[in-house]
Amino acid sequence: MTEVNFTVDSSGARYAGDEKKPLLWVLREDLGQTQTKFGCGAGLCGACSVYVDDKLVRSCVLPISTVQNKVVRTISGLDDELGQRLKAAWERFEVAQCGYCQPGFILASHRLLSQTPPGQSLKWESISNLCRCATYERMRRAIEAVHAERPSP
Amino acid sequence: MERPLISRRELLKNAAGLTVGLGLVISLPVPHIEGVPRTDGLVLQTFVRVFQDNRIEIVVAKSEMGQGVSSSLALLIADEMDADWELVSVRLEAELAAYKDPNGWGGTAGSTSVRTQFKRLRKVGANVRALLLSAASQQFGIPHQDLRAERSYVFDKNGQRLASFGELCAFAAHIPLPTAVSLKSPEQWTLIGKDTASKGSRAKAEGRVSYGIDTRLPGMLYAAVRQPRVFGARIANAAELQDKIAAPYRLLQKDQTLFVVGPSYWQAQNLIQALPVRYDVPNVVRESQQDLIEAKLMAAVRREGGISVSKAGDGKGALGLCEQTLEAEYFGPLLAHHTMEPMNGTAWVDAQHCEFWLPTQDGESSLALIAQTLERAPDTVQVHITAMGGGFGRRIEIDYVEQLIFVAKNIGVPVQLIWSRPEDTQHDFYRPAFAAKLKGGLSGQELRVWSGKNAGPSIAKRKRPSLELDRSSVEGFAETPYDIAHFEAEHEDLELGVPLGYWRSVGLSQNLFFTESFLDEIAFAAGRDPLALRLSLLKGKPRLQKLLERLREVSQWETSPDRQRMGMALLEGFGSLAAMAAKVSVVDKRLKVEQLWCVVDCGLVVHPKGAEAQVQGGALFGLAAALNGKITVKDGQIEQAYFSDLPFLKLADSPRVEVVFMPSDAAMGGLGEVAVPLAAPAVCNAIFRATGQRIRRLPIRDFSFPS
Ligand code: FES
Ligand code: FES
Repeated sequence: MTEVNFTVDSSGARYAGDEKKPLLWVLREDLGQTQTKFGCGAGLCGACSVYVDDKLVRSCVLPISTVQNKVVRTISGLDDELGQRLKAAWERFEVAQCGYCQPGFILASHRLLSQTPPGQSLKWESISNLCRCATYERMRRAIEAVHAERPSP
Repeated sequence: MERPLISRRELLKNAAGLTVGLGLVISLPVPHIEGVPRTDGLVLQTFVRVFQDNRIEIVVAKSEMGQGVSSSLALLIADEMDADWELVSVRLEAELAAYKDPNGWGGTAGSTSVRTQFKRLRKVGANVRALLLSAASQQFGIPHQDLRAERSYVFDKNGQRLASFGELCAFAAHIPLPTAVSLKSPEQWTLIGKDTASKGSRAKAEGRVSYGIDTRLPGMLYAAVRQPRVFGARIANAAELQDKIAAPYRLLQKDQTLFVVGPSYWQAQNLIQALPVRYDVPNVVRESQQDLIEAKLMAAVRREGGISVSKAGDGKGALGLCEQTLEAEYFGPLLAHHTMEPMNGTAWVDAQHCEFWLPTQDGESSLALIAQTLERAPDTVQVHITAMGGGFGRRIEIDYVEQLIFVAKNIGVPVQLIWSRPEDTQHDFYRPAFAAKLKGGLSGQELRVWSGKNAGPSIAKRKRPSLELDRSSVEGFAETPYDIAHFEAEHEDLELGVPLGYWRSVGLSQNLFFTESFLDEIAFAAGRDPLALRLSLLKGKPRLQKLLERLREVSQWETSPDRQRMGMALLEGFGSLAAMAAKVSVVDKRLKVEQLWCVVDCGLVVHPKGAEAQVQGGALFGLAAALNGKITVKDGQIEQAYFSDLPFLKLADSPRVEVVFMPSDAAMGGLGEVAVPLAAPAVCNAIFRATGQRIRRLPIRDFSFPS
């Protein structure tokens, strides 16, 4: 039995239990936060993506013990300017079909854009998430639009 | 025949249980239809709620799995109502009992929703508008014909705004219902066929949609599932397993399926995984091998005979008279659905409750199964159809509902059952594997004879064993859009020992690959352009000709510098017409699909934004299967488990997709599936043109490409 204290989207969270339990299931079961999705449980689809501090992780394979004193940011807390722009673009381009994978994709796109200086080309391969509805066409248009909006240095 | 509307006042409560206002519920009661058995207790209604603050809520009688049906259907009502679309919300989660299409099956499949509901839902909207106008007429003493509605307000003939719909609803609840309401003419539509925004895009982007798996109930437990990996295997050591699971977890068994139930799904899954289950494996398993399955299918198509499913002219008999004949054999593998949200369901069954939350495409059968299994009257069963993370045909099956009923009944507290990803992959109802052999006869450059045989298992026979011919096995094979003098198609039905089901676009998903690839082979043999050859075979079919002309333009079929790397395919199905061109490249032995163009004629496009999304997604869904999709069998079990074995399309590999709709006044066709079957033949035909390599079996990833 381990105790883990961490922050989820600016609220304090506390977990006591098996230290191996993945962050995804602590969020979904212990904290009742279902915005982060279960797709495979094996780190392969990205539906469960969250930021831990500034690192994008697949929470289905991340033991809860590793988030001690860290800040977890889910889709709900992704409200910095880039996050807001991405969500707005997702709405404008109507990217989502079933929508199940989309929180993970928005987080992955957030990381891609944070790492790509304005004006530089986007490395699409860095997003390895899966969307079974195959919304890739609109997703790419949305990401490109947000990228283009950003002022060049 | 539809009966008049009824209306009633209702206290509406918000989530916190506070009364937020009086609303008017206007609902359409069920007419009894001759010959359609009526399930007692099911009140079949479509809801429109108008609130005093002028919001409107529309509850749609279909399952939303990402195909946009909630927007498409709601806007039919909203347009006729003259509602302000911004003020309309569409409810995804609704009780099954509250609604059902009185005209047929209550499920969602076959790209039929918008087509079948088009008139009916517009009538609902028109009735609501008429009712509100009558209310305004009486309240303001102005004749009905001097009033008009626009964007949720009623105006007089001088353009003076009189009242909002919301302000009128309390009054409207007391007045008799209008009869003989007429529908708008197409020029009067404000939402249908326009760039109307889809509902729910924002909520999905913010992760605010509650899918089946997100259902949370007080004190809810979770159930993990373990089914025998080998089809037909039986648990040999059931007695030894009980004491391996300690409280608070419990082990349950139903037939050969095990469940571990307890406070954490993650823990339950670990426990069930670790259970030392031994299985008795049936003898037939030795024969359940991928190469044997394929050999069996190939042997069948090479054999003479089978069921003759269509014949024109002298059929295959005319082959002997041709100057040139060619033949080719094709194979399409088993495929899984892989919905992103795995199979799951939530239930609360005890003395006071019998309530289910199901991400299902078939709420009606689910409800019937629950009532029957639990021996309850259907009107004491509540089924909520939740949002779902993809369906693609998988959620027509209710195997997981059956498991859930069993677990919920035995546990007696709220419980959510979740399949692991490997369970979901290995216990799917697969798109059947099929093979085909096609023969063509040419006289000069003209295609004169077409004969083909396909072989594969029937999906429908599982439920109707006496069925002679399963139409879905031969759709797109028994008939082609082309005018060919001598035509013959045969089919042989084979059992493969693998569970089969409906996979987005069903029979066309494999048959179109066979026929449209072979037509491309014929074009090459005849020395003709594939598009021009098709056009020459479509005399007297102006819609199809126009479609191909448009494809020629948008893809620059003849003028593009890349035309030697392009291929195409054509489809007639689901009441629609569609064609696709694909452009590929091979660089460093790596195949890349660079672009897809889709041209679609589905008659009236009710919701263009949603329609485009369906075609874009469908094209890429089909491409993912063509490039990477396969399920293989070894020793009676499915070899694949996770996405690593099934690398479906990723963002970087995804080509650009351009979609063009052809305006037409033909009857409305479906959209959710049309693009899916086109991808495999269009891309394989492009590969042939680019590399000279003809791909006759899928998936494409099994081939390598010299540069
Ligand atoms: S659920 Fe975590 S990567 Fe798929
Ligand atoms: S939108 Fe359905 S899986 Fe991505």
